[in-house]
Amino acid sequence: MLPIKKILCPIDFSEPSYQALDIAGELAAHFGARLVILHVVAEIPYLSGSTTITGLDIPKYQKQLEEISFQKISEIIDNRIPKGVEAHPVITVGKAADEIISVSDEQKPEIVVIATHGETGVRHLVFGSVAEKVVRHVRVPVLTVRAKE
Amino acid sequence: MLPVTNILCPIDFSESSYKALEVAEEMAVHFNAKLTVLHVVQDIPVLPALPTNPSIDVPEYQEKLEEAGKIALDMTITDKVSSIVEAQSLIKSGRPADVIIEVADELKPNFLVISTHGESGVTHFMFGSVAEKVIRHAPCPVLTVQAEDTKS
Repeated sequence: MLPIKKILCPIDFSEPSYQALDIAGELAAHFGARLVILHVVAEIPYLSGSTTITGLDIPKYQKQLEEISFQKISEIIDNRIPKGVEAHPVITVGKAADEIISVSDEQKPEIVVIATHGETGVRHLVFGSVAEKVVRHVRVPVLTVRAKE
Repeated sequence: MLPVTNILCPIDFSESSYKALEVAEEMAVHFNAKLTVLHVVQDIPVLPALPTNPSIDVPEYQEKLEEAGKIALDMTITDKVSSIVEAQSLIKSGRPADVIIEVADELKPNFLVISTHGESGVTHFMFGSVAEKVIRHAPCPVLTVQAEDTKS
């Protein structure tokens, strides 16, 4: 696994995902590794039978979500990531676990750092299904971080 | 999470668990950290009412399993962990996931390294239930290492 040159950290802007990100930042600083911060924007469903309802431009809204996510991650990099770490945002659209696995295959990090739970789901009863899928399918070691209450 | 001074790696003597041990060793060397290699011997099942003439003396056999486990564990460490690492073996009995979590609560490692699958279970269909439980409840970050050869 060593040396670590690239770390992938998916976030969903939830507090637990920020805790995982803090650890990813720490590791990136320690190893002098690049940090790829990924956010997956969920695809907005189209209503059947209409491509645009008056006033609803779905592709445009989707794009806005992507842009805002990019900006938000850039802010987070300024505020939370140790100075000197080469960090950059990656935004994709689709189903979270699938996209994370895909990006991991493309980017080939030495390690993925992810929170066990994110924004959705019932925290105490269910192991976050995104983290679970990622651990199962990603080809590199995955560091799972449980949020501290 | 940094600095790393203390790493816990549970193994069940499966090839996959040795992959996790490799990664744990790498990290222990890199961080000059202590490495605890844990093996959990499963409790021999006893029914609420013991057979009147059990063909094995359960407590005695359990003890023998633990002794054998300790020997195997020490050999594994000698074989697979570099002598520059300060490594210790730890044998416990009980339900693997529960014991791993208890040991993590006691030892407070900076993180735990575990294989996604171990000896039991159908590797391709099921995410190892021990790893899953450990990830869900461990008091520290858990580094999961894929069971299959990642290069194949």
